[in-house]
Amino acid sequence: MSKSLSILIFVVMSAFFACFFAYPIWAALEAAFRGPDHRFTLQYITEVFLNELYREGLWNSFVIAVWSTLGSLAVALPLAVCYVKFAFPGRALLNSLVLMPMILPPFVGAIGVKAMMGQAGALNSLLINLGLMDALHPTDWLGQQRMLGIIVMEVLHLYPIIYLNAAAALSNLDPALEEAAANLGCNAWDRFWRVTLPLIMPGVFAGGTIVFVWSFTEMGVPLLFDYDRVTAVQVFRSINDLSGNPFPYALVTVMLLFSTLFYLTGKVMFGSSSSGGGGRATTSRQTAQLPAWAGWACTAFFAGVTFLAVLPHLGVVLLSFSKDWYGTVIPHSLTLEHYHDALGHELTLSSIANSLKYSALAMLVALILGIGVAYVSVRTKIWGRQILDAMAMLPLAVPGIVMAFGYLAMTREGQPFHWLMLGEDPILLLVIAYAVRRLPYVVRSAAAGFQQVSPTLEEAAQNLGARPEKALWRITLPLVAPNLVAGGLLAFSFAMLEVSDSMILAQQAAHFPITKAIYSLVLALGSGPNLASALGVWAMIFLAVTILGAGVILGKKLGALFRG
Amino acid sequence: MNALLQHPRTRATLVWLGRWRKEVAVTGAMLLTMTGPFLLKPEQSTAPARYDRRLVIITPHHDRIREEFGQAFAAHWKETTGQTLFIDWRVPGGTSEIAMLIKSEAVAAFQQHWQRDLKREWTPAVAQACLNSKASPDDDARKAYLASDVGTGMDVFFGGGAYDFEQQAKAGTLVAGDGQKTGISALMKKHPAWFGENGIPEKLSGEPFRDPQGRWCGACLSSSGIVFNRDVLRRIGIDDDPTAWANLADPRYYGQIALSDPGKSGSVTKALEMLIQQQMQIAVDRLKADPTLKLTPEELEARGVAEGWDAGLRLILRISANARYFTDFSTKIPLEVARGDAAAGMCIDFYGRSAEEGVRKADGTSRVGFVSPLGGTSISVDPIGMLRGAPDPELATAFIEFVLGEPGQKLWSFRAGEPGGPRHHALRRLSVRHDLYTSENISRMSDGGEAPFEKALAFTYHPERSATAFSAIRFLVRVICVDSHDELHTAWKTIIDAGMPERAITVLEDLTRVKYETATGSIAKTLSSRDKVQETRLARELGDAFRTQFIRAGTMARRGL
Repeated sequence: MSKSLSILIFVVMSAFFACFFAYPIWAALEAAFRGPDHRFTLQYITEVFLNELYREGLWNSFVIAVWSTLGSLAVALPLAVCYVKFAFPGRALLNSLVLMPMILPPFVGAIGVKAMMGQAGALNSLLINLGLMDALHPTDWLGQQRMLGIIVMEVLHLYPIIYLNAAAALSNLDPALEEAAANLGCNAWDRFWRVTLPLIMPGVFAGGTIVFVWSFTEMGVPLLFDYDRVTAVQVFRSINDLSGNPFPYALVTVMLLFSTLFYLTGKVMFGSSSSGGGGRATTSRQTAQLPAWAGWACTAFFAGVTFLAVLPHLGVVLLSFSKDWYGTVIPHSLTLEHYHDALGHELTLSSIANSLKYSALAMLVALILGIGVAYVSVRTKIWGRQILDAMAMLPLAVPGIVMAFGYLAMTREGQPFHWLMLGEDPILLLVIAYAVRRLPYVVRSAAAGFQQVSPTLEEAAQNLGARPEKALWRITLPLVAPNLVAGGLLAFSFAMLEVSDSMILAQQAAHFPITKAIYSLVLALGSGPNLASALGVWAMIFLAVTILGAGVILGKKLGALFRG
Repeated sequence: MNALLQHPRTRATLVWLGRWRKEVAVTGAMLLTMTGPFLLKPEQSTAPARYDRRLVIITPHHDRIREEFGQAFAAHWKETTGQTLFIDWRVPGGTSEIAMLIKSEAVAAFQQHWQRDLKREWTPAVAQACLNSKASPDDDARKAYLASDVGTGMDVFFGGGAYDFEQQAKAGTLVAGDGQKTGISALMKKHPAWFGENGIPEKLSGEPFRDPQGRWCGACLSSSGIVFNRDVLRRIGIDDDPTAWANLADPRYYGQIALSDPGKSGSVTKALEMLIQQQMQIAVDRLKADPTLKLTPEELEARGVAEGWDAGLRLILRISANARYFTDFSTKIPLEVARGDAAAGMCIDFYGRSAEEGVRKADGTSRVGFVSPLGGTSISVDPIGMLRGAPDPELATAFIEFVLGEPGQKLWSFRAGEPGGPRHHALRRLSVRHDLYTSENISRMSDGGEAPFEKALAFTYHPERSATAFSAIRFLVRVICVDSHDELHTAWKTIIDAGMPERAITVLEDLTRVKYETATGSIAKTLSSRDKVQETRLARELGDAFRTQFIRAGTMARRGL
C-alpha cells in the first residue's frame, strides 16, 4: 500500500474517532461538569457519591460484574481445557453449540426465566411434583433473589466469550512448554496453574474484560427483573428528563470512570503477563484419548452447560406457544396465536426491516473502517499505527450506555451534530453507534487475517506491475475474505441484538429496531410476555440461521474473533 | 423436459448452484425466515411508508388501545378525506414519565426560541419561569412562552390522569385551540351537547372531568381497585377476597403484593391518592362524630385532613412493606398477579377486568378477580388534550373529536366484534359520556352494568385535600417506599417474625418528617421549583433518614422490643 494512502486512512480514521467516539463521550461528560452558570462544577459528581442509592447502584453493578465474570470463568475455562486437550464423543458438535446462548439478547431470555421461576412457575411445579417442595410455601425465587437471577442470566449468556478466547489461546499455546514442565516432573495440576494458565492469561483477560464491562453496564436484564439499584438502570430511568437534569450525565461519567478503571487495573494485573509463550507452536498438539467414562463425562459436562445456557431460550420457546402457563412444568395448552399476533403486530415488520437496515449498514461501515485500521496497523510502519489499533479497541472498554448517551447529547437541538438526526430518523446515529461498538471484532478478525497472509504474495503482485492498491484488492483481500466475513457476521449479529443504543436512541415506534420492539411488546396488556417471546423466537431462528449459515460457508472456527 | 435439462444454460445454472449450494441453501433459509412476518403483516397499517399527513400522539395507553384507535381513526380519515394517515405513537413510559418528557422538551424548544428568535440570554431564571404557572404574569419569559407557538413536535397527549393534564394545562403545554377550527374549544362550540351535564359534566363527585377552558377533556372513565389471585390468597391463608385498601396491609400478604413505582405510573399514584382521600374522609367523619371536640368547621377539616394524611401514608407504608417489589410499568401488576407471582395488587379498573377475562376458564370461573374498594375510589377520567405548537392542529382536533364522539366512545366500551366496537380485543373501559349509556348501547358494552355515573356518588373526591400534595405523594412514596424498599421490606419481615412488637412498629411508621404541613409546604415547594439539585438532595436526605429508621425498627424487633 502506498504511504500516502496509509496516511489518508490514518487521518480519516482519526477524524472518525474524534467525531464519533471521543466527542460523544466528551458530550456526555461535559454536561456532568457544567453548572447552571456554565462554569465548571463538581457538585453533581459529588452528589452522586453522596447519594446512597447511587452508591449502592454502583456497588451492585460492580458485584454483578464481578460474579458474572467469575461465574463465566468458572464455566468457560474447564470447558475450554476439555475441548482443547481431550477427545470425547460429540466434541465438534458441542463446540459449535457453545455459541447458542449468544443468539438471544439476555433480556429476552429473562422473560423465559421469569415464566419458569415464578411462584407458580415450572421450576416450583417440578419441585412440588417431585415432593421436594411444600405446595403451600413455594419459594419466590425472583422476588427474593433478583440479583442472583441477574448474575445467572449474565453468566449463561456471556460465558461463550471467555470460552472462545480461552480455547483460541489454548490452541495457539506451544505444547512443548507443557511437555518441558512435565519432563521436569511437574504434575498435571501444577502444570495447569503454573504454566498453562499464565500463558493463556492474555486471552482469558481479553474475554474477561469484555464480560466484566458488559455485565457492569448491562441494562436489559436488570430492567426485566425490575431491579432498580443498578447504575445502568438508574441512568435509563432518567433519560426522559434530560434538559435541566444533570444527574443522568453525572451518573454516566461515574460509570465510565469506573469501567475504565477496572479495564486498566485488569490490564496492568493480567494483560502483560505473557512473556515467553508467544509465537507459533513448534509441535502440533495431540488431543489426548480419554478412557470411555471420562470421555463421556466431558460430553455430559459440555452438554449440561449448554442445556443450562439454553434453558432461558427453552422457556422463551415454550412461553411463545403457551396459552396459559400456570402451575405446571410445561404449559398445559398450546397455541399458535401468539405468533400470529406478534409477527402480525404493527411494530414487527418495520422493526425487522429497521434492524436489518441498521445492522447491515453498520456492518459495512465497521468492515470498511476495520479493514483500514487492521491493514495500517499490521502491514505498514507509519508512526502512530499502534495508537490507531488501540483506538479501535477502545469501544470494548466503554459501556454502550455511555456511548448512547453521548450520541444523544451531541445531537440535541443546537448542537453541532444535530443534523445527524435527519429530522427525527436515528438511522445515521444508530448505524454509527452500532459500527463503533462492533468495530473491535472486525479489526481483530481482519488483523488476524493480515497476519496470517504473507506480505510476499502482495509484493510478488507488485513486482509483476500491479499498483499497491490493486495488489491489495486482488490478492490480499480475497485471501483474508473468510476472516472478514466472520468478523462482519459477528458485527451484524451483535448489532441485531444491541440493546442499550437501541433503547436510548430510537424514540419513535417507526424507527424501533427489533430489540426495542420486543421490549415494548413485553408491556402489552394480557399476553405481552407471550408476544415478546414469539418475536424473540423469530429473532433466535433468524440469527441461528445467519450464524450457522456463516459457519457452514466458512467451515472455520469463529473463536479467535473475541481476542480483544 | 429432457431437452431443457440438457440445455447448456440450465447445466451452467445447475453447476453454478452445485458450486454455491451452501450459499444458496443459507440464503434460502434466511429468506424463508423472513416470509413469516411478511405474510402476517397487518393489512391495514397506521404507519405506512407513504402518507399524506402525520399525527403524533404521546400516550401511556397500552398496545390494544393504540391499535384499535389508530386503525379506526386512520380508516375514518381515509373515508372522509381520502388521505392516508401516519399515526405516530410515542410511548416513552408511564404518565409521570410523559409529563416529565413533555416539560423537558418544551423547555428545550423554548430555549431555542428564546435564544434564536428573541435573541435573549438564557439564564436559570428564564428556565425556571417559562413553564411555571406560579411565575408572575409580567415575567418576560412566561409571557413569551404563553404567547409563543413553540411545540414539542407532538400533537396530542392522550391518556393519563386528570392531575397530570391539569398540571400541563397550567404550565401552558396544553392549549385550548383557537375556538373556531382547532382545539377542544372549537369542539365545545361544534357539539355543545357533548359537554353539558348529560354528556361530559365538568365535575362529578368532586373529580374534574374536563377543563372549563377546553385545554383538556376526559376521554373515558377509570377507577382504581385491587386485582387478586384466589389461588395465592388461599395458599397464604386468606379465605376472603380483599374488599378494602386496608386489607393489603395485612402481614399475611408479606412479599405477595404487586405494586408499581408511582414515579412512573400515574394510575398507581391515583390509587394511592384515593387511599389517602378515604383515610381523610374517615378521619373527618370521626372528628365530626365526637361531640366533646369544640372545633370550628375549618379547624375540624384541617385536623381531619392532617390525621387522614398520616393514616393514609402509614397504610401505604405497610402495603409497600408487603410489596414484592415495585415494577416499572403498571401493566405488569395484573400480569404478575395472574401468573401467581403476587396475591394482589393495586391497579386501574380495566387492567384488572382484562386480567380476569384473560385467564377465565370455560366454566366462567377465574383465578383472578378484581374489586373496587367500597368507598375507596372515585370515578375519574383519562383525558385527552392538544399540545402547544401541535404540528397539525386540525388533524389533532379531528382525532379528539373522533375519540369524544360516538365512534371513539364505542371503541372504549363495546365488546369486540359488536357493530362500532373494537375489532380484536374488548378494551373494557367505560364511556365518559353519560348520554351514551342508553339501554341499546349498554347491551353491547362489556361492562355496561357498572353504571359508573351512579356509583360515582358513593365517594366524594375532595381535590382541595390532596391536590397540593399530589406531586408530594408521588415523590414521598418513591423516596420512602420505592427507593428504600429493601430496608423497609427486611425490617417489616423482622417485625412480623417477632410477633409485631409495638415499639418497633412505632419507629417504623414514624412519619413526623413528612407531616401534611411539610408535604404541602416545603416539600411541595422544592418539587415545583424544578431545581433538580435541590430535589435530588431532598430525596437523599429524606431517604437516608427513613432507611436508618427502618433499620433501627428492624433491630428493635430483633431484640424483642
